[in-house]
This record gives sequence, structure tokens and C-alpha cells, in this order.
Amino acid sequence: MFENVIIGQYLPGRSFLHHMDPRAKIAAVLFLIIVIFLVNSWNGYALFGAVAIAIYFLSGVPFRYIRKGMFPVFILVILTFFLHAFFTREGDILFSVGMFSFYEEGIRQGLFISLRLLLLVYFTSLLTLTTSPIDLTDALEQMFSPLERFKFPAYDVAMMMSIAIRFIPTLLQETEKIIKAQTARGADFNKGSMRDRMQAFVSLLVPLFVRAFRRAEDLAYAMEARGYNGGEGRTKLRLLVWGWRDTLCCVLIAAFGVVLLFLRQ
Amino acid sequence: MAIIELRDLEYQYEESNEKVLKGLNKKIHQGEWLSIIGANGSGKSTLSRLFNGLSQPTGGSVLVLGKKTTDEASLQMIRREVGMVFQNPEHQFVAPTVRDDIAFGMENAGIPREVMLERIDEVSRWVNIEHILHMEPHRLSGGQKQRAAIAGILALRPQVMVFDESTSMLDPNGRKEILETMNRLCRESGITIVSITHYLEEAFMSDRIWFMKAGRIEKDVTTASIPDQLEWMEAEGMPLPYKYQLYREAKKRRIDIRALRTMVEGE
Amino acid sequence: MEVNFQNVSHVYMKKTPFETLALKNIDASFRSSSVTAVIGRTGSGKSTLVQHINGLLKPSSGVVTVGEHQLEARTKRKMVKTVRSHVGMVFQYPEHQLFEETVEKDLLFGPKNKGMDVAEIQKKLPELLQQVGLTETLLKRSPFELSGGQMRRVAIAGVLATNPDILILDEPTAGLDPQGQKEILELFMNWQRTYQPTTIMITHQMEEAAAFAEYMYVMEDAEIKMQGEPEAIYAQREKLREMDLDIPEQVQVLQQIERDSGIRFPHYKLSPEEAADYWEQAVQNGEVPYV
Repeated sequence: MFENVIIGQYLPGRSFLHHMDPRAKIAAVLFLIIVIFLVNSWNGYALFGAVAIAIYFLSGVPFRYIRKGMFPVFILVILTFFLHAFFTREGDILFSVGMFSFYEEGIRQGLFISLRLLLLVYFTSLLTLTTSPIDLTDALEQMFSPLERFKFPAYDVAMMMSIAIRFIPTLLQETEKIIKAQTARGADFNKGSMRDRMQAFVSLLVPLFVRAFRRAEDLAYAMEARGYNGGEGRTKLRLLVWGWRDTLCCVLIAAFGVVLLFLRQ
Repeated sequence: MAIIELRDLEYQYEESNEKVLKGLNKKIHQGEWLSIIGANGSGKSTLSRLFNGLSQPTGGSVLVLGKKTTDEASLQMIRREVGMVFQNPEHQFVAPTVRDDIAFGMENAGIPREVMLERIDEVSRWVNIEHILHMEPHRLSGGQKQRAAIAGILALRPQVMVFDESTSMLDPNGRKEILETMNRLCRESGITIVSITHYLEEAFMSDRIWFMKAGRIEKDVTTASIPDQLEWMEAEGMPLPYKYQLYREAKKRRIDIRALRTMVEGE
Repeated sequence: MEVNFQNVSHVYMKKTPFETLALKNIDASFRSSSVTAVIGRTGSGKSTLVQHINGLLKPSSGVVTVGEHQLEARTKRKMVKTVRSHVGMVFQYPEHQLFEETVEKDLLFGPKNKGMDVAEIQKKLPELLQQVGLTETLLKRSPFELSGGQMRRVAIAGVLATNPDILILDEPTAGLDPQGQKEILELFMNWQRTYQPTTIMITHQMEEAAAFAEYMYVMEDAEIKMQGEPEAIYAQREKLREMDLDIPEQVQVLQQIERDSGIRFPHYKLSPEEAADYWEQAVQNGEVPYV
């Protein structure tokens, strides 16, 4: 069932975005998230939309994956839109339905905020769709490493994250096995009284925890036996390579920011 | 030359009042393949953890290449020289892919990246996993995971490799893969092998066998003398392979079955 | 209770890029109270096969008949639960399923779920523990304080507690030392002799199958490639080797002696004593040259 699990929503590929340095991608997404709050004109959003579409073509990710990732946010977006549409009372009245009047400014702001939210989620989805969790971890570690001076344990946090990522599939496989074993003993995880289902749940959780502790102990031994001693003096196999794509991306994004500034009203 | 030496070695768990290891004095020689057999609780797994300082003796000492494992300054060297392969293939795979896992020990040792790349290339070819370097652990068989662990250790150029029941969770094909690799490690690369096992067939492939019982090394025999060792092995409750049982029955009846003799004693 | 597979196929992860055919047109039958071994490499489909018998998996097509019940793609869960109450299944590393505070509670988990008379079964627990080689003093202990071997026995007892009509063993001796393997197998053989459940054991160790099974299915690539009595299967050495399966050591040794000396053993289940006696007799009768 879980044999082909994909961690996070990463989709392996060979597109322009896949080939970019994760640090550049994270920086770009952060930058886009900030500048999107500068936009306050239709022209600005039109330009932003164009950039979003262009990046889509650079990602090589099938649209349905993006749609799937963004679906849960839609409800939030629609809600935000109506909140603004109902409660902002500025500008001309566009039309009225019963006792509600919709103002031009309300609709405008509702649309803007919705667009902002959508674009925000869209860019972060593209980031996680085109960057493997382990690359993300590496990039974050490097970006946070200057903070080591202030006692922020960037290295240890990254090691913990990478071990967590590595063990997610193991955990899922184990969950599946225990569910099967308890189901074979008559436990029912889906139907039955609250009490029965609680009991079934406990019969899954306890073994999972017991196994997790055992695994942690074994893993600690295995790491120690292979000379693990914390971050000091350690070298790294994984290398993040900054390429022409990354520089180009940064330049373009910066230019894009400047243009957005000019389009402000 | 003795590569590992046990001197009056004792071990006692904190919460227990009986010693698990009671005054062991032994030497392990360079280039040999030593098997340690014994029932659960005989102390064989405890012993395996003392070889590279994962546990420290509560009495006596363990010397690796002449250095005590309790000597802080030598510990990193000892861990590099004595590699360990554990029982559960899943629980010793640390990194997200085979390539990263092979690199893990080298990263800890501070080996430069270019050297790592060369060695990964070399050792993965040696244990025959160069085609799965990019794979995540959950897509690998148990045997493949154990071979990745062996590769990761080999990359550190150790002199000794300790296998702590490393085949017991594998299917027959996985077990064959690992045994064949162990054989090559010892016979081709001259690496000293210590394997803790409860499979007699595996022990019979090695050069020497320690039989442990209640914290002591009761027997220390060469595998060449196996035909003479069958009596006590059976008395200790070890299920002998069929050919040995039949060999003994035949001997009792003073009959000589040539095919059988060849199987047991060699040509 | 009898089990029959009629043209059963199973597809994993249907309609995804990972779609795989895990069973392909399987026809198989397991006679009431018989012992059958299902052998094959890891990933050959043997676990998938037996998980159809208690409805952990449903056929994508075809029918599995268990006693008088039928399991198909669209069988309702209520029916599945009825069937499941007749089936006990011991998985690899069964000790991983222990979770209750006491051994006693854990042993009663299955019977309670399957709606059996718990009070009645509770009375029989000391006997059950004895049958799996443990003492009743363990009943009030926590299963997590026990040794590895004891835990496995408790977990096995937890499955046997429902006294299933069909007993499925999915490599229950994995990871044990040879002595432990032998003991656990003997435990199942004794149970089988006493209560006569239809027993199906999955294994990739031919030795286990040899000691136990009266009929064998050999699986490879989601299909049944060979079937028959163990002796007949062992005779096809080449075919087994193609599938990376080894004949039991005992059979290998006896076959080697046959090839070398021309003797014919009556069957390959001879104990070492019997084999030596047979050889001695054959030499005395002048049937084999003394070589």
C-alpha cells in the first residue's frame, strides 16, 4: 500500500526549476511573497500572473498536481473574498442583493487578497513540488548556519530533519503491517462503537511507539559505530551548486520587483 | 599479529548483579575469519559491542591494534578500523539514499568530498550496488541494505569488520549475498572478520569458532577440526546440518559413504 | 474448513502510475485440515495470496471461497468479518503486535473482537500458555517485560486463542535461532495435530515446508508456477534453481548420495538413523557396491 510513497509532494523531474539550487528557489519564493504585498493595481496583478504562468512552464509539473495541492486553500480564498466583499463599504455601490450592497472597493479588495493568497500558495507548492525534502533541508541548514554564532543549532536541526524524512516511509510500512496484524485479530479501525475504535487505535499506537524507541536506540548505536560525533569537523557529500540558472533567476526576480514598484498606484 | 586482544575482559550491566562476560583472554589474528556462536544470553552480542568501544568493559580491557578502547584519543581511530554491521538492516540505514548512506561514515571522519566520490564509486562497485546508489531505503531489499552498510564501512578502509547477526533478518537470497560478500572481504581483501551468528552453516564457512556459554568462551576450535567437534555441538543443543548427523550415524555403523565423506571432510 | 481460489487476480494501487499486478489468475485449493506450504521469493505474491483468505485484501477479480462463504471484489464488510472470525493469522515478527498491559489481556484481545465467549476462553488460558511452551505465571505480567522468545510465543498464543478453523502462518519463525525455529515449528505441528485447522504456511525456507507440509505451491511473479507433493517438487531441481529456491539441505544430501552411488532412497524424509540403516541394509543385500 505504502510501497511507492512520495514524501512531501516532491515530484522528481528534470525541469529548469528542478535543476535550480534550492537556496535560490527558497530566496526567490521568499522575495515573491514579500513583493506580492506591494502590488495594489490590476496591472501589477496581471504582471504577477504572467510571471506565475511563465514559472509554471519552467517547472514541468503537470497541472493536476498543482491543483491538488491548492485545493484546500480554495475554501479559505473564497471565504476571504466574501468577507471583504460584504464588509468593505468604500467607493461606488456596484449592485445590491436584498439587504446587502456590494461596493466597488470591497470587490476590488476581495479579489486582490484572494489573488495574493492563491499566488502565495502557488509559489510555495511549486517550491516543494520541484525540490526534494533533503535538498530543502540542506538549503535551510546553509541559510541558517550564520545563526550558529548565536547558538542556533542549525546543523543538529538539519540532521534531525533528514533522519525524520528518511524514516517516514519506514513508519508508514510499519503502520500498515500493524494495522493488518490487529485487523486479523478482529480489530476494526473504521466501524464500531467509539470504545471499540479507541481500543483498535491503542492497539496500533502502542506497538508503533515501542518499535520507534527500539529503532531510535539501534540507530543511535549504528551512528556511533560509524563515528558520528556531532557536526564538528564533518565534511559533506551533498553539495549545493549555484549555477547560471540561479543567478539569472535572482536578477530577473529583482528586476521584476523594481517593475512592480513602478506599477504601484 | 593479534589485531584485537581481550585481557581479563569482564562486563556487567548496571542493573544486573551477574557478569555477562567473565574474564576473557583471547586474541583475534589479522586476516582470519572468526565466528562466535552461543545461545541467546551467552554474552556474544555484548562482546561484539566491546570490540569498537560502543560499550566499555567493567573489568579488564579490549585492545585494538595495541590501543585500549577506553583510551579517548584512540577511539575515533578504533571506530574507523573496526567497522560494525548490525542485525536489523532497516535500523542502521541512516541517510536518505544509498549514496548518502555510504558517505555517512566518511563525512563523520572528515574525508574531503572528492575522495568520498572516488571511494563511493570504488566500494559500491566492489559490493555490487552501483546501480542502486540513487535509491531510497524503502525500495531496497534487506540484503541490499546490508550491502550498503558494508560499503559504507569499507569506504573507511577498516582492518576488521564485525557482523552482529547481520544475516538473521534476511531471506535466503539476502543471506547468500551477504555471506558471499563476507567471504570476499576476508579472502580477497584480507579484512579480519568477526561474525556473531547462530547459524552453524555460516560458522562452518569461517576459519575458527568460539563457542560462548554463560559469559565464557567454552571452546575455541578451528573449522578444519569440525568432524571431531560434532559430539559436543550436539550436546549443546545445536541442530547440526543433516550431512553431519548422517556422517556421525555412518561412522557409528562403520560404514563409509564416499559422497558424504567428500561433503563433510572435503576432497 | 476448506479454502478455494478461483481465477483470482489482485492489482495493487489501481489506476496510479504504481499499478502492479500482485496476483494473476490464481487457482488453488486447500483441503479441510490439511497442511499446505506456499513457497516463493520475497515479492513473489505469497503474502498477497494468503491475505485474501481473511479479507485483508479483496480480489480485484475472481472468487475466494472460505467454507461456505464467498469473498469477491464487492463483498460487504460484514461478510468479511464473519469469515475473519474463522481465520487466525500469525505474521512475521508477531511480537510486534503486542500492546496490552498484561499478557492475559493481550491473549483475550482477539477472542473479544471476534465476539467469542471470553469467560470460557479465559479459563483455558493456562492450558494455552502451556501449549506454546510458557507458564501461567506470565498471565499477569506485562508482555513488554518478557524475553524476545517469550514475546513471540505470547503473540502466537494470542492468535491461537480463538482456536481458528484456518491457521495462516506467514514466516512465523523469521529471525529466530535454529533451535527457536525448530521449537516454534513443533509447537504449530502439535497444535495442528490436536485441533486440525486447515493450515497454510508461507515460507522461503524449504526446510520448514519439508517438515510440515503435505502439499506445496511454488509462486513466482504473481503466479503459481509449481504445485504438488513436496517429493515431486524437490525432484525438479533445475526448475527450482531457476527461481532461486534451494532444496532442503537434507534432500540435497540424499540426492547427492544417490547420484554418486546409485542407491535409491525410498523417500527424502528419512532421519539420519533411518538413512544410515537403509544404506547398511542395501549394502548387505548387495544392491549397492560398497563405495
